[in-house]
Amino acid sequence: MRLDRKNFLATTGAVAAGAAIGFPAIVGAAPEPIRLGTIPCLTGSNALLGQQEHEGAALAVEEINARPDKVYGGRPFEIVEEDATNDNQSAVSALNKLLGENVVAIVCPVLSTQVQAMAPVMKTHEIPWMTGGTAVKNTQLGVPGMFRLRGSDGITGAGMTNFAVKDKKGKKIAILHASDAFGVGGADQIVQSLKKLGMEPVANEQYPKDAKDFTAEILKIKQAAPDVVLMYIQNPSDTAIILKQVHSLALNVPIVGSPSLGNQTAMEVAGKDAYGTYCAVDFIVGFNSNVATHFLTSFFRKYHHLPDVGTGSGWVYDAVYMLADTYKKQKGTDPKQTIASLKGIKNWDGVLGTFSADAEGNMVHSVSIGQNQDGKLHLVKKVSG
Amino acid sequence: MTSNPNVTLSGPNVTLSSSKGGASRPVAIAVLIAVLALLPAFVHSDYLLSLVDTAGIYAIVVMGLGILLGFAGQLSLAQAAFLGIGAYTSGWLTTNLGWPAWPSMGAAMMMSALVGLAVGYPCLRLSGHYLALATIGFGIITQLVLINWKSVTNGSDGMGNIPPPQIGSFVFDSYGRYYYIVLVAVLACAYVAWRIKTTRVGRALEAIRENEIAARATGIDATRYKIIAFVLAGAYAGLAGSLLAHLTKFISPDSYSFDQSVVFLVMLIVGGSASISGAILGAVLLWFLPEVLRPLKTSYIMVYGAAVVAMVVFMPRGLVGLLDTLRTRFTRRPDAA
Repeated sequence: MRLDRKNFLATTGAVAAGAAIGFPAIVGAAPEPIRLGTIPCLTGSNALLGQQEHEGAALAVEEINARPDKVYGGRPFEIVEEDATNDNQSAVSALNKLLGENVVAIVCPVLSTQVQAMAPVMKTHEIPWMTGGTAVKNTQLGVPGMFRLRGSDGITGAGMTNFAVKDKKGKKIAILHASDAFGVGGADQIVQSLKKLGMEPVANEQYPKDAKDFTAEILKIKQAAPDVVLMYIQNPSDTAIILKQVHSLALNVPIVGSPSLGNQTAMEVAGKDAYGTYCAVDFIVGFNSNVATHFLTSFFRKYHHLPDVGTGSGWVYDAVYMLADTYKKQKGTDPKQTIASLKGIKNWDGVLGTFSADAEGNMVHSVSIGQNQDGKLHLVKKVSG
Repeated sequence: MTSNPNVTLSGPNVTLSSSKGGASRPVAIAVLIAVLALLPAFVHSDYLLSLVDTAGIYAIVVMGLGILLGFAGQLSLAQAAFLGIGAYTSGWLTTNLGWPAWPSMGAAMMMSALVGLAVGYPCLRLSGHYLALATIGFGIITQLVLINWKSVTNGSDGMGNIPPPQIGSFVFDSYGRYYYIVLVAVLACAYVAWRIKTTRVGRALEAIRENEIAARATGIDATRYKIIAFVLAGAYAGLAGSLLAHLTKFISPDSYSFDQSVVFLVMLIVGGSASISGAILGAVLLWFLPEVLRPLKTSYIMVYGAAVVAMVVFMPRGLVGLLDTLRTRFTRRPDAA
């Protein structure tokens, strides 16, 4: 064929049209990823918790992306992570940054105070907010699309109190708690539960944020001669130090604590000083579903250490899987549609148990009381709010 | 004492008199204000605007600390507590009594100033690290009060639903709109600080900073001026606290810790402690630095720490001192060497 101007234009036009139509099919254009925001506290005094959240999310995404049957429309998950650090203002900055990153849902930090600080911004964006913050108020902030994937302090506080009074036959109950939103909120729940039983705490001590010595608070509790001490603490390192000091100051009464007493890191650091203590936790190894067993195995294989299932990685892992299931079922990632779907969640099996959404967005309605026996948690009983 | 009538804007040893700056200085300031006023027209990211707003508010806190430490030489580690008092005063008045935001801001300033007076008076006999220890104690007590006075502060749950300011039906409910309130407040505070510095009060504070005994010997009422410095530092922090409360709409005691006071002190030292522009620069730099370093993930804290150490070691007069040195070097005439 002679190459004149007419032929040249016709040939190049045909090639261009063919390329425009066929190119994506030929090369298999990569599907657009589903961008999921996470805001763990990766630095500061709560970095232990944040690292666990990071690991839980990364494991879930890795598994989901490796299984085509779990991925909606062949679109892989992509995590966009910003550090919430240790203060509210930085958490809000991290959130504002994420909101500019085209994410379809956000897994919030586990610290309730940060969740509450972020609430004014959250209210202006209708996307799913998955939280592990247990302060009762978190789901009452008027944020559309807020879902809690752990038992609230209402359930935990009531469960701990009932266990101390009814099972441990406590008549003089003392409370030791952190002075952050988590600690104060939990202690308030305990006081309310005691009131319902016609009781008042014989001591109610709180320690300041970032304290490293708890002698004064423990000795004051000891002076009140309680027969059970209830502890409401978020930070695993605080928990470990307190348990060591309780032991060295010979406060020899049953201890019933919030989930941090069952935190893997806290139990390892406290060692023998934590033996015999009780805690209300979201999860106990050995009493779990196939989902939980798979999670534990995969987590250990990937990270070579055990997860802090309840406070750290388990709820984040569940959050990512729940979103993946929802996107697949509703055949889309539209945030408003996702919120509606999540509100309808019933009997969804996850690592932390069976999830069902109530009107406020609470998805977990019971916790377990476990006892630390030689460094391992053993189930004592299940309690609900 | 021989007082220096010249204006010192950028460091204790560098005079920036009108004769030196010439007519170009007001023009430069006017251009800078115009550029700043146009910022929201070019920056549309809520993330960036929220950072700018917060940086401006922190600049006000640090300017207040600059009056106390930079001008008067009184070391305080309670600036976060004054910030908290301002924030809670404004938050309480608007959410409990239904006050509008504007008078609440004035009340927040006054409340923090009064507390500054109450703290400054008993601390008059103290100086140096003893004064620092006393202010640390005051800061910790304040945070404990905010946590435990639940009927007023709502305890650790914090105070929410704090309304944004409004003029008529125009509500300052976005970061872009709020920026103008912050900008006006920063400029007003900088002007007041500059006026203080150039008047008898500023020179008296400077004399006290350099040698209190000598200052007293020349007839300066050191007690009175030190109290004035405490009151002004409190008022600045109170205004900033109120601005922060109406920006974030939620406040909790966690934000007003000793750690935060240390951050404000570092901002001032890095910027240049005796300089108004240094206080602003230090606050802006140290608030933005962790954000700029976000891509480094958890390693950012190492780089941030190293950067702060390097700034303190290699820039003993702060950023403003460095800028001054550079300006002197580049503007020096060859025959002047």
